Amino acid sequence: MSEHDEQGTSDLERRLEAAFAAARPRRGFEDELWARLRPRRPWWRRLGDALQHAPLGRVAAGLAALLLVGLVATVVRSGGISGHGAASTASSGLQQARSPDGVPGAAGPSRYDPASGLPFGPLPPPAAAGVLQVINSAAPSALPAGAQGVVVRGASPPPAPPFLAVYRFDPAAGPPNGAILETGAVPPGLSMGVYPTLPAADAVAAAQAGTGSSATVVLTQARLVYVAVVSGGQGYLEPAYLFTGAEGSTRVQLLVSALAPSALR
Amino acid sequence: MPGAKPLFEDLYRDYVRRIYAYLRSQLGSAEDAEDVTSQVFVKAYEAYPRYEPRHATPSAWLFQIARNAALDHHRRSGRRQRMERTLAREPAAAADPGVMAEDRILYGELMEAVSGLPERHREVIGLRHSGLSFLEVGGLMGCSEDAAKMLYHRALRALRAALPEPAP
Repeated sequence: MSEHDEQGTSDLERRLEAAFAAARPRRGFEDELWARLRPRRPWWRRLGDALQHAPLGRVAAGLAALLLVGLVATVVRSGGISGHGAASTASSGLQQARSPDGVPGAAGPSRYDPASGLPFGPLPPPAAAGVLQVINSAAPSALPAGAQGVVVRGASPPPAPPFLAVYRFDPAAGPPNGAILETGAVPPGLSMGVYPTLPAADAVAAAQAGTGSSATVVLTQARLVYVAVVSGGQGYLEPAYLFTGAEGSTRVQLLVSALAPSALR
Repeated sequence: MPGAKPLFEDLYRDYVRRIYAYLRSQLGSAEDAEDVTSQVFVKAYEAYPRYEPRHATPSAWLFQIARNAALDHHRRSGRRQRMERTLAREPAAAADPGVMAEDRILYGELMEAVSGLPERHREVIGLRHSGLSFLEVGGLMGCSEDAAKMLYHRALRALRAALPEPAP
């Protein structure tokens, strides 16, 4: 091959690299496809995927929790009280959560905090809220220092209803602190109360807090998830906005609690 | 190297654009590439419980599905019919006309030229420029790593010949 040919070939390879790197489906396609895919698998398979990334002991504990929750749900149902899962509406959940005995379908003693008017009282925020994390194949880890700012570009969180469900579980037998579950993967039968939410626009503002002109982290997608929060001997599944994006070539995520500040400690 | 089984969502986020770009190069039209990308991930999603990382890397597994889907698409629609449709169709919907123009300049003509190559040439360029090693390309195409390299260089020459001469 002559020098001219080699030059032409490497130039063509560079153009191909650029062409493949620039090839993008239309805006919104990736999220639309993901939204179509998610309902195709049952929740227990999705939960199984999530638990694969927890340490074995915790996986075993999580499975034990599922069994326990299933057993309790069966007992509760046989007693004439129906359990409910993530699909429950906020309004019906609100009525149930504020019933005289506190939390409906509860797997443990119910608690209602009359001072705050919140089913479980003010909640601890997720430990990772507001912390930029590198998305690893094993588990997320905090982004090394050096990120100068965050900009949200194209990520529009789904509008949250005025109230969302919070679930309570036994931390000795539930998902580990910080575990992220898709909204459809919340096991049925957990104690539930509904809490006021943070508007999506406020979540975007919170994600961008500290943004400077030298922002190096670009968040491009956002969705609603549940985060396991363990505090004070109690476990909660709390709704949160999960923003994802990149710092250079490193994929990062940022959690913002989807609960109103008045609902948090 | 095969390793732990990743979350499907991670796999999706990591590969959806690469699979799309590969299919764009194979099918020539953005609309067909989106349709077939959807089919690929639906199939992958349903097959994921049976996927074993020790048998194939996620990349090799997904691109095998994508390659089969592209070949199926070619068989189903027929090349002539597809190209006619491509020529008659508007460019893929994009909100920003500036982005559309940039896309056409950057990759539209080149991707269509790749899609017009003979099957083996088209595939080797598509797989290689989707980030696969020659070893992986050879594995998918049923030939050795060296044979994949030789095929790739022949495909590049064919592509150069198929492209119009740049304006002086």
